[in-house]
Amino acid sequence: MSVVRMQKMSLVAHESDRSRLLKLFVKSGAVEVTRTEVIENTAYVQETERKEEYESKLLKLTFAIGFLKEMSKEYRLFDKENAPKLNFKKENRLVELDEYYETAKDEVELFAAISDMEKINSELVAIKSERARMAARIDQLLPYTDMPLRFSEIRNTEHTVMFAGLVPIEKAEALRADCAPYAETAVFGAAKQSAFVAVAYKDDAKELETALAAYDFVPCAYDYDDTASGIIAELKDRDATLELRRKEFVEQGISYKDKLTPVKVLYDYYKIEVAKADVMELCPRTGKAFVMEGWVPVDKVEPLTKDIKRKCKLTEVFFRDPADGEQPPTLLKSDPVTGAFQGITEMFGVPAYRERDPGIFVAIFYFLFFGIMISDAGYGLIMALVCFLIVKIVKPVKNSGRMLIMFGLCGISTVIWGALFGGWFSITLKEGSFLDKLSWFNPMNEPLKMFLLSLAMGVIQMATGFALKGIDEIKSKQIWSGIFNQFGWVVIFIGLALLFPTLTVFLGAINPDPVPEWIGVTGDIGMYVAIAGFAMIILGGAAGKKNPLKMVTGALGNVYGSINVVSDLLSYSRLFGLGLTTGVIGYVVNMLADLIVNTFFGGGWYGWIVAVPVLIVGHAFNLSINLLGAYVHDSRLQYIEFFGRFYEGKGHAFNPLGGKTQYTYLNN
Amino acid sequence: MEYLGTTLALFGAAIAVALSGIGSSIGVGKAGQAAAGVVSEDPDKFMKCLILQLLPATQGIYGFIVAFLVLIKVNAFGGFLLDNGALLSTAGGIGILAACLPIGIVGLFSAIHQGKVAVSSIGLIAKRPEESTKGILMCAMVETYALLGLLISILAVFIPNWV
Repeated sequence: MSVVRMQKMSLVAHESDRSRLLKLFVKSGAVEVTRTEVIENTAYVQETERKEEYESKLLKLTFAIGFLKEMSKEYRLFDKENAPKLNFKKENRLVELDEYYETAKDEVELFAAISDMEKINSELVAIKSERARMAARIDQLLPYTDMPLRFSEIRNTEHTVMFAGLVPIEKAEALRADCAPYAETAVFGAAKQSAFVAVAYKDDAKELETALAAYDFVPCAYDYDDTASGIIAELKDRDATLELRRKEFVEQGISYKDKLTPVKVLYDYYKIEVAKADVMELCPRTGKAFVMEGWVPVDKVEPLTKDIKRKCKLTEVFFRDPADGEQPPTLLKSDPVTGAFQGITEMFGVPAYRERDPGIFVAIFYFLFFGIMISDAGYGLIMALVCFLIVKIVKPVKNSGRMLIMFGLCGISTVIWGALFGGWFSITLKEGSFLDKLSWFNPMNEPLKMFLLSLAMGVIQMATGFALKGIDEIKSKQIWSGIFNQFGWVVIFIGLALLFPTLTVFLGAINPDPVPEWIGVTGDIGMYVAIAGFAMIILGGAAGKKNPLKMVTGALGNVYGSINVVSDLLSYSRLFGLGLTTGVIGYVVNMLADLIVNTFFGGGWYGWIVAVPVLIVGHAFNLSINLLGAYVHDSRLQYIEFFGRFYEGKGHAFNPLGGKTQYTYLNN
Repeated sequence: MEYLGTTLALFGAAIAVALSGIGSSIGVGKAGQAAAGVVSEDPDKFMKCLILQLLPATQGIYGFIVAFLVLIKVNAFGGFLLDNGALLSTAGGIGILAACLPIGIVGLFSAIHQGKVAVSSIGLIAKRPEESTKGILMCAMVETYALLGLLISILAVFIPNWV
């Protein structure tokens, strides 16, 4: 666990070497190109045109992936059994660089397939909008369903006028009554609106129109040569045909499923090409040659130089160590176990190039705390088994399985702590049983002990943090501050640790009988050590200042700062809170099951039919909500309480050319 | 009147579970609205949004735990008689009621405010999904105070020998 040494690469190359060189960099995955200052007679060249071409291809490929996703969703709706299982996430295998180039060679074929997909897509869109239009028309015609007239029959004759349209259903009868004296009317019932037809002599037309208007009559605007029900039937017929055609198109669309993998590979090919173009924009060029600078991890320097010498004859490359003012990118070296926890540090921020990598400490403490927070050996077993099984079966490539391994390891920690706390799915252990003998104490029965244990964990972690900061300060020649400000706290924490046995007895967390004599002695020693540490902090605040007033304020500042430390220490009580939460909820779930079996079903075996699902769902809920809680709060303890003491994490992560792919893992 | 102490203790349990439950409902509710909005735009962000929506739910659980501990303390599942064979005294009842207040009150407010942070963090997911863990951590900051309330409530309910 450390930061990998970097060397600065500078090279001058002929343009004809460009693509070979970039390909080499991508393959090695070991070069982060940086901007080079312009030298005389050179200029940056924007690669706009090239990038635009790539971007438009990327858009097409994105469409293809989205299209296939849509098609597989649609297809599943009507044929679940034969629906192909397509993977739209990152492919879990290493792809050789050559495969990208092979795929790119056949891209014409692939893009032809994509334009076929586009055609299918536009057909589908057309069908969809036509069906929407038809549905709207059916909605409009629906009130006229019961009207036996064709719309074309609604017209005036020489002596009569005829009206047809809609009126609100509650007004229909009143309207009929109103115009009964001079008009023949008919109402065809429907939901909210009724179809209303009225016939009258021309002489009464005016009167009828007024009456109609008074009752919110809306005249119908259709002149189809058919009845409403006829038209609706026709539309529904057409709709069924369209549905069939849609299915056909979906089937056609899904037949392109084999293209998904090449499309994903090609997508990443162009992603890399865009990155290459971006990189070239950082290099000053003359038209025939260019200069490039970048960072390369030390162990990759030799093989890279060899490769360049062999393949790029017109390139001259140099390496040198980073200068003091330079800030190289950070690449963390790690082993598989502690590396599993690397994601936690990276989420906060990778260390600066010259900063310490806190990885090993994070791994230890994260592991330790996770178990206390879940505190149930049964849950721990499930976590470890599930995570390691998935890793075993799926075999995640590169770093994609890191998180799983981390949770698996945390599962082991949970088993250990759970066994110590006697937590096995919150079942009350039989006295004297093997598991009972394994257990140290039950946090539910002795919450105070648990509380003190949590604080003790905090003391250990924070003391480590202060010690690391102290070492760093002494190394960087701030010896006074290192010894007094940082190691002062370490001394205080050692004092607190010595005080702990006394404290536990005093607070009644443990009641030994008789109280051993050494407890008083260690308590006294602890107190004096803590006071000495406190004196160191006060001295540390005053040290290095000439003005006596500043000395006093500095000392007071340090005393005031200790409030922060105390509140941070109390923050570790979350270990206790979260640990207890798991136990209590689990206990309630068990009680519920017990209630179901013994009270509701009178102890019969059939009670278990109900109780077992309750147990499974209850414990699953408990495990998942506590997993989330433990993950979040464990991280928080690392970031605020631990990193707050010594770690900045302001580095920027090493980002090699070709490192950012979306759908595949490049083998380099 | 002999049940007054027990009643007061149960009232405390009710306060613990009810206030923190109200807070969590509000927090989870607000976060849920925001989450639904983001998911309507991009269904793939469902899991990330769900986790954030769930964070203000814990206060309700804390209140529930304290209430449950009170039920155990007053022997609610075994006829309310304590170890000494008597019912809880009025003074003991008031004590337990007071012990329930921290998680009730702090749970109420911290869940509401955590809900607000969760809403903003869901907005963060909409714009920059890769930063979702930072949003989760910001929510966790608010929860600290609920945890402290829980701690005091549990210690105050459990440690003293209420009679």
